[in-house]
Amino acid sequence: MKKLVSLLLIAAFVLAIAGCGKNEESAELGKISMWTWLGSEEVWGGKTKDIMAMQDFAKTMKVDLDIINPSGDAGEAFNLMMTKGDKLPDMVFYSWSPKRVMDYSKKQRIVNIAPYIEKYMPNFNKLLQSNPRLKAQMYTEDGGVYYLPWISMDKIFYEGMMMRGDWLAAVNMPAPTTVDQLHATLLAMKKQADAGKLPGTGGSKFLGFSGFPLQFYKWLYGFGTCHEFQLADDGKTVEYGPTTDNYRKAMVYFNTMYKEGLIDPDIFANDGDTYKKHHLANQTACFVDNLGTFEQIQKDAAGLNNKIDYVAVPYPLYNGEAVPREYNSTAKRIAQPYGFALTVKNEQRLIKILQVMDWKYSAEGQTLFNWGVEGKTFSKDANGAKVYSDLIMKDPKYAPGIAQSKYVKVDFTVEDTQTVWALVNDFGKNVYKVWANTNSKYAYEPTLWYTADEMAIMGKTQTDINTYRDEMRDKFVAGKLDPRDDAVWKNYLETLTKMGQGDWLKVEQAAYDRFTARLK
Amino acid sequence: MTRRQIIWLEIKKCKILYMMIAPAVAYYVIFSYLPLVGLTIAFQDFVPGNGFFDGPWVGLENFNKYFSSYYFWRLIKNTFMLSFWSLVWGFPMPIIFALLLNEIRVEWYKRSIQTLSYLPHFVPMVVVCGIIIDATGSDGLVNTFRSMLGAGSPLMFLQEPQFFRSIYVASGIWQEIGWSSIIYLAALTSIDPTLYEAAEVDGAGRIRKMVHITLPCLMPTITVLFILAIGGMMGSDFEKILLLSKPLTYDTSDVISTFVYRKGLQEGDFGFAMAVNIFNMLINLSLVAFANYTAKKSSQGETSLW
Repeated sequence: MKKLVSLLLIAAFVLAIAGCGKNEESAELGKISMWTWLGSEEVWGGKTKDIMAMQDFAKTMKVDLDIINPSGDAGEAFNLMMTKGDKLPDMVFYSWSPKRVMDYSKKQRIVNIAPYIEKYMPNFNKLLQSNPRLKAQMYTEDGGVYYLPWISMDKIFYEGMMMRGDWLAAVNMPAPTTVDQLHATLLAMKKQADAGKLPGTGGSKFLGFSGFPLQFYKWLYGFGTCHEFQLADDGKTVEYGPTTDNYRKAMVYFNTMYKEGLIDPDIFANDGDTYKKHHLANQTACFVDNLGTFEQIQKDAAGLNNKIDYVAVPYPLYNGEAVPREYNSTAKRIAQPYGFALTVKNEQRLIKILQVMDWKYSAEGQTLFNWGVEGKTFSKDANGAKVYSDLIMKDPKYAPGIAQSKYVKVDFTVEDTQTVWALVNDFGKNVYKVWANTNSKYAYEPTLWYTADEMAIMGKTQTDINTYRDEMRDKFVAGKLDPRDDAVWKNYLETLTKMGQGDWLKVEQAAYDRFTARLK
Repeated sequence: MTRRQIIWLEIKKCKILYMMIAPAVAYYVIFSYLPLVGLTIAFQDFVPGNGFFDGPWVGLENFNKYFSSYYFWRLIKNTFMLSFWSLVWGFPMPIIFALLLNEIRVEWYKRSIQTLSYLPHFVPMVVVCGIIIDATGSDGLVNTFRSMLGAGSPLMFLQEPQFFRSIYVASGIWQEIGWSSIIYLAALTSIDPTLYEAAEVDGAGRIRKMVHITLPCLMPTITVLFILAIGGMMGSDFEKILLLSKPLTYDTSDVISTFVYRKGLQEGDFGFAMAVNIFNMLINLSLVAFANYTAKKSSQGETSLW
């Protein structure tokens, strides 16, 4: 008897758990739950539900939005939630890389929304139909769409080079536009510095070009190459930058500069404090970084009674072309790999939610999520261009970039690049203008879908090749190995081949060809 | 009485003791033994979101991927060499330090030296590495000193593979010498003072007493700690190496853990990382077993872990 009772108890317990586990999805809309990580709102101590645009969105659509932010580490919370798989929120905003989309769609955690777009999402559909690249980036190879993306139509430039304007004036040269001009400019500056005539240097050692290696190597663009995959000059053959002749030329160039003392010998330290010390001590002529970093250094220098004057330098021109080349593949990314995946299995409910979410991509939706409410958070200037109001630009406590996140949420919609420009002052606008003038035609495609076999090949080769590439690149620049030596270069290429670089290239070419076929 | 009743009685009798040990047992079961189930992912093509038994099973493919890597032997060698030199230089240092400290007769002087020597242990690794990077930079402490002595161009210590091991080992000693000596100092206090008195009567000096009484009394502690240190041979101070190693010094500084970290970061290959871990664990385990066996044999079964 006792046994029977305990058995019954256990059965009841199991049933109770199973009952809890069942997703209580109803066709009635009720509450729409939305899971997302915390963005800049964390800085001012708010949650995503506190953002003005989110509240206005719910009001306009007359829905009850339940916005959930994970407490603690978002990645961990996401993994746990998706592994458990029951009681998933209706929508999950996360980083949806092709691999993640494939994994979770196979496990049926997230649903394919492609069949509903044309009929129920007119605004999103319009965007897809009018932008072949957006469409090719959104659709998987078997025609599925798995998330509602953050879209950025225009390229935004956050990083570029700045050079000491007072030093340019001292050597009487304009900002360099090619790699050779940069070389000549730095040489002239070093000469002046050695003679003790460069303003501010006061006997400290001239170090020239400095900064983090990954930013430093953006100057490879001036040689028509980069240290990742890229498109050859025909615009369709995939090549691996570090195996090209242009790359070799770049290595020779950097090595020459290094030997002549025009590159900071601490460049490989990869240590922000070291670089900052050099900048503040008036030892560095130029480096690549984001606008905020330059402004911070100017501010810190001013605190030390040191006036540092920076001038924006455009990306270097390659081979006499009119516009600098840009090889950063994110420049080609329109559908950002961030967005809302839907987990709803009930078709009626799914359709209703999609209809609500479609509004984010409408003209009014874009305005709300980018700019907020007219007269409150933005207004139009004399030319009809939108500008943020003092509510954002003159927040008593936070910088405009942070204050912005109290009112709007650009990564939930089609980002208006103007918002980036609206947040910076005239100096910043000018800098962005100089940096943004690039041609990304030869940059590699950022969103590619690979088959399982292809991924296995990449898994075998990638880390070895990247390790070797980084190691050799720094050795070439620092002169531990001479890139001019044919035997050295031959050995370098052969080792890459031995590591399976050719196989990896074939995989990339195949994946890229499939992408371009879908682009048509 | 049946066996079962006896056990029950025993538990009842010492219930307080069992209650005291219960949290510790639970801790090890939950955090050390249950996660062992996770070892299964070394034999799978694992994706986060899967359970530990969901597959797909790939057999030893993850291990093959590791063994066939171009850098396999370099990683093993670097990992081993860093640990080896750390052991050779780093292991005796705290012992010597403890012995010397033990000889100091002025109490306040002894205590302040001891406290000062602990300090680096509490400095976060990021800060320690910041200090190292700063001191070895082109205009850092070391190079400034060198140029004062008339050296020409600065030596970039962190960019030369031949310096990496020395920097790693030396900074390790600096950081841990005081902290690791605590256990020896504790062992020293348990030495019977009558031994020293007897030696003094026999006319032994300080050195004699140190060699013939202090050291032999410390031997069991030293042996056990040595066996444990051997067990850490295939591990290395991941954080420190990650912060100090640069592509230029990969020849000596790239170790298993940093390589796996890069691979994990780039490809999220959990199965691979687990396979590497299992491999390291097996090597460590056999090293410990071997060291333990040797210690047992040479001390006629007196000092060993098991």
